[in-house]
Amino acid sequence: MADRVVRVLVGKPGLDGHDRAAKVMARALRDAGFEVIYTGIRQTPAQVAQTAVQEDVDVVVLNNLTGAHLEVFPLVVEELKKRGRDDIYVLATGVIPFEDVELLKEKGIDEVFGPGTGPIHIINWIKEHVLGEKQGE
Amino acid sequence: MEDRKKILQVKEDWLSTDYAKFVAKVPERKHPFMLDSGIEINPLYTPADLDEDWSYLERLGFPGRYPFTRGVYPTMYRGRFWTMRQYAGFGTAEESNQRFKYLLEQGQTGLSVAFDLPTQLGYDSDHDLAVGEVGKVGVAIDSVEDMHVLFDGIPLDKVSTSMTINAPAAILLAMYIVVAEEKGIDRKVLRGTIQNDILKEYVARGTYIFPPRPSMRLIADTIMFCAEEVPKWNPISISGYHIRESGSTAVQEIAFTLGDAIEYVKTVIEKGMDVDKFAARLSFFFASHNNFFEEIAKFRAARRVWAKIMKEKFGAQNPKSMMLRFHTQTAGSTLTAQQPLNNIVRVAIQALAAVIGGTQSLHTNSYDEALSLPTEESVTVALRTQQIIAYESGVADVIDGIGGSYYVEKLTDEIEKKVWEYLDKIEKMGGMVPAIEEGYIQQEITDAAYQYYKAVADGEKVVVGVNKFVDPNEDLTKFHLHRADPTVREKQVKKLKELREKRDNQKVRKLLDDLRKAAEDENTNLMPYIIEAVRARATLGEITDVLREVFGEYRPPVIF
Amino acid sequence: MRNKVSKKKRLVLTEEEVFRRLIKGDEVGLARALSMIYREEASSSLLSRIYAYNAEKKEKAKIIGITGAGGVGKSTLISVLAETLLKEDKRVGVIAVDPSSPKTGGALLGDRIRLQHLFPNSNLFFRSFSSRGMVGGINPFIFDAVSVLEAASFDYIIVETLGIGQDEIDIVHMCDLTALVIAPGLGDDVQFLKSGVIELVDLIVMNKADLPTASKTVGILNSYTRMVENHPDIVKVSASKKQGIRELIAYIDNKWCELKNTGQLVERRTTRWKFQVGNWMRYIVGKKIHGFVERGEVKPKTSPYEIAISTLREWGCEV
Ligand code: B12
Ligand SMILES: Nc1nc2c(ncn2[C@@H]2O[C@H](COP(=O)(O)OP(=O)(O)OP(=O)(O)O)[C@@H](O)[C@H]2O)c(=O)[nH]1
Ligand SMILES: [Mg+2]
Repeated sequence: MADRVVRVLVGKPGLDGHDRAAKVMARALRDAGFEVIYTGIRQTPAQVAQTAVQEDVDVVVLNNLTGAHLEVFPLVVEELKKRGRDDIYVLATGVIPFEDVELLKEKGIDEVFGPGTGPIHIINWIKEHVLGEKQGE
Repeated sequence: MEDRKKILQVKEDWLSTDYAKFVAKVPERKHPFMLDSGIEINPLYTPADLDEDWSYLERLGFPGRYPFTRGVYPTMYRGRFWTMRQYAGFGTAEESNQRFKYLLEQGQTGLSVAFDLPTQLGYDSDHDLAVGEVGKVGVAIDSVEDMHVLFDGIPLDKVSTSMTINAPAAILLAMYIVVAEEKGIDRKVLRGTIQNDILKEYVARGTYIFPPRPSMRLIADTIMFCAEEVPKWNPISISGYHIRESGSTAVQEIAFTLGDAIEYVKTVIEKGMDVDKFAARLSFFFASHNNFFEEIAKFRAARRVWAKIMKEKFGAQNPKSMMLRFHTQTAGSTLTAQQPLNNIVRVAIQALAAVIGGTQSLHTNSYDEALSLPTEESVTVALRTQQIIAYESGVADVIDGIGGSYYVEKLTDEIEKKVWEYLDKIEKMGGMVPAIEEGYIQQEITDAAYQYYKAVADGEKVVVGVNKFVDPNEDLTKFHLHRADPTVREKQVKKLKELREKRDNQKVRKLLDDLRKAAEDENTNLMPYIIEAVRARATLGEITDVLREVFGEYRPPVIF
Repeated sequence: MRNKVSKKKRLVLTEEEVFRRLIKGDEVGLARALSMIYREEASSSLLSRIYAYNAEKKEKAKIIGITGAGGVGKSTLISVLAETLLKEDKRVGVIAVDPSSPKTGGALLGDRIRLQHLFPNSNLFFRSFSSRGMVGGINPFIFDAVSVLEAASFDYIIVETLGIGQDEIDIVHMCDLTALVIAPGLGDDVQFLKSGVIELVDLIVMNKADLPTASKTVGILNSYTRMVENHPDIVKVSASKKQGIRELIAYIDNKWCELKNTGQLVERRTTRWKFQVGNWMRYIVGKKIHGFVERGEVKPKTSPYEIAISTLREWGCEV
């Protein structure tokens, strides 16, 4: 059996046009050995969710820098549920204030990586949760 | 000047003796020292490091004279400081109006409006795609009624207003004109800027709507309309800022921006307007990043290259057409979430480079940049930073105080050379539009962004507080942050409903229909039609929808 | 940040469920079938069921291969083809293969982004694969993936592959019809023409016809095709300007029907099936050989040929 390769979708729901982080991070995730699919900007939650389903990814990394995360990220979770795939991990990244972290988790986001969190934390989280590999700090 | 040969000789000697011995004892920190632009930094620069044919009069000349390397005005800041202009806007027009008034009271000298994303993308606040977005990162404007509120109590005949608006720029300009006229102010006296630079939206900023061709036509329409009707208005701000903030190098920032500018000038000339009739009102917008000398040299090189382009390529006669006047913003992407107060220092250094580099106006970022929109407190510190540079540092008392620094002159020359290389390449590709459609520009920027990221991740590039001098016990929750008002959408939707009930809908329909017909004919200037629709209280979304129908929507290639 | 979340249990589907769902066109089942194949988790009985199911089916999908050098506009072309076909109520399935990094095994799967705007859409399915795990450019997974899509009843199945050499030749065996996409001004084109692909493909799509240099490329192309007997037709399109797309579809449809009516389609599919048998054999044996070579003792005094022969005989090969 071939090695288990992690598949990640980097999704940008909402009208946000900031794509520098998403593009750079897509490359960083590739360098970590993951297969990475990127939706591009200005996606609806349904677009992101259908992509995740078709590509059968392990993780969806949502990214939004313009303050729509509280409204838009939970809609992606809902869309995934509607499609029978709420088993896929959903992570939140971007300019997310601390007080929103719990609110997002209540709405089905598995983890939140706010301003200043380097990609290594996200990569380690994914390895730990998808591959079951404990990562040393 | 001393004999070039003699200096080189002594320099060789110094390098092989004093310098070499020292390096042998204490090795240098880096091998080699490089700028992100790919230029190697020598340990020392002398007059002999300048090109052999280096000529003061040709390369520098005098302020206010071709090639404007030392500045576009004869007195620069000895007459008047740069315009201090903080980018601001959030929530409803009422809230943003309050912030504007606060900033003016604090000594800010110009306004700069940030719109929310639905406005920038031509959607009314009640559009499905506007859910979660209304008033979040800028002010929500649906109709000229909102615009009236936004500028309530602000003297439009005195203050200059910059609006960061691109795809729907013509509509927002129309709204500004209508507001002024309804207050009894003549459009001829209005001063300000619309960004209106679509090409960089495709590669760096992301708020594009229409395909390149109709977008260029809209831009030409606004430039030509302003040349006749709103003569003190800058109808475009050709922007390198967003390209740089997407991760480009300093050289790419200038090259791609001037490449875009060439495209706009070509378009208007093709429409039959004489270059000297509009070129003086083209304005520019750049970033000021961390590397102090590189940034100063960049601004100087940009002025020189633009002057040459206008004179030699487009045959401009009026010196004003050759002047590169620009706004600067400090580089937000260098500002960190960690240890936010450090950002005040970064911003001060970057702002200083912009001032020494001869900027015409400046936005300084706030220390909470990476965390949220600025609070009143953080934006005040940012504004004070500019005031300290202006009133206390003394750098504004002399023109181009760094001119003649061997290093800066050499860098200016090298940056210029590299900019020309890019411009030649782009020209061979058929100009910026094909270069963008092919994804070439995006590829260059994305690669540079990735290299920057790698350098930080590998620790090769130090970011204080992030990969060195980290504070493990840092608690960011102590910072009081700006929070968006979640009820803005509701309020806007209600206002829209009332507007649609109150206005003369038949008239609106007719004017929108006229606009559609005008849009179908490439040779009709759309500005008058848009102004009439705006005056009749057609909404931003309704006007954009008409244009969407005629022009279609564009998706540029995504390179990642 | 290390807030413990309870680990989610990844959706598990039995092969029975996967099969039942995929033949109904259910995306979750379809997507999972593709993952199982790609991860070599699918049993041979699942694959056999799929092949048997397809063999019984009356309505065959049109399987179209799109190949060409990097950046010629394959993905853009596929997006406008799909857009046009969707408007005609067709069901379209797309498979795209991108190279993976030999060092890390990771990959950026970038083709999808060009038709992302067509989603959400229940008649469009897109799946990105990396070339990881392919031995010598041979890839049995993609062949089987096409069969899975066929079982899910798409009207058109489009396969995008990149690269020069083996891969393109493979795609010809994998599809009913293959188009080579070329574009003006790309150095790779000439290499393509020289590699002999031109004799194998069914048509050449000259993309980016909107560019000023397009006519020059057509000139070069003509001078090459003249030397090739029964050379493929050249269809000019501009994917980004959406020009010539309807004509291209008509061309493909006609050509496909012609193949069908003349019995060539059956012939091609038989060849395809045989080729896939060979593919799997090469893949399986190739992996075994790879493992042997990696582990094998070094005996510099023995000739490598002797080791090869004796080992293969040990494995029961009559060589
Ligand atoms: C660069 C930038 C821009 C560029 C964007 C260029 C581009 N193509 O992306 C430009 C200049 C165009 C821009 C424009 C705007 N911007 Co801006 N921008 C920034 C800035 C300065 C940096 C963001 C960035 O790209 N950093 C570089 C990346 C690599 O780092 P990072 O985002 O910190 O990401 C790190 C981690 O968080 C993590 N990570 C993040 N995302 C992901 C994703 C994945 C998959 C992974 C694994 C990891 C990961 O890893 C990264 C590396 O360590 C931020 C402020 C800041 N300093 O963060 C403002 C900021 C995001 N912008 C802001 C605003 C308001 C805007 C505008 C909307 C303004 C306006 N009204 O017009 C516009 C519109 C843009 C649009 N179309 O949406 C605000 C948002 C406010 C808020 N949310 O409350 C910010 C916070 C600035 C501010 N304080 O006001 N912007
Ligand atoms: N001028 C022009 N550009 C096009 C056309 N079609 C595609 N492009 C551009 O060509 C570039 C490459 O397009 P893709 O569709 O990604 O090409 P590809 O062949 O799929 O590329 P790979 O998947 O990397 O091999 C993009 O920038 C497209 O916008 C066209 O008809 N005309
Ligand atoms: Mg492709």
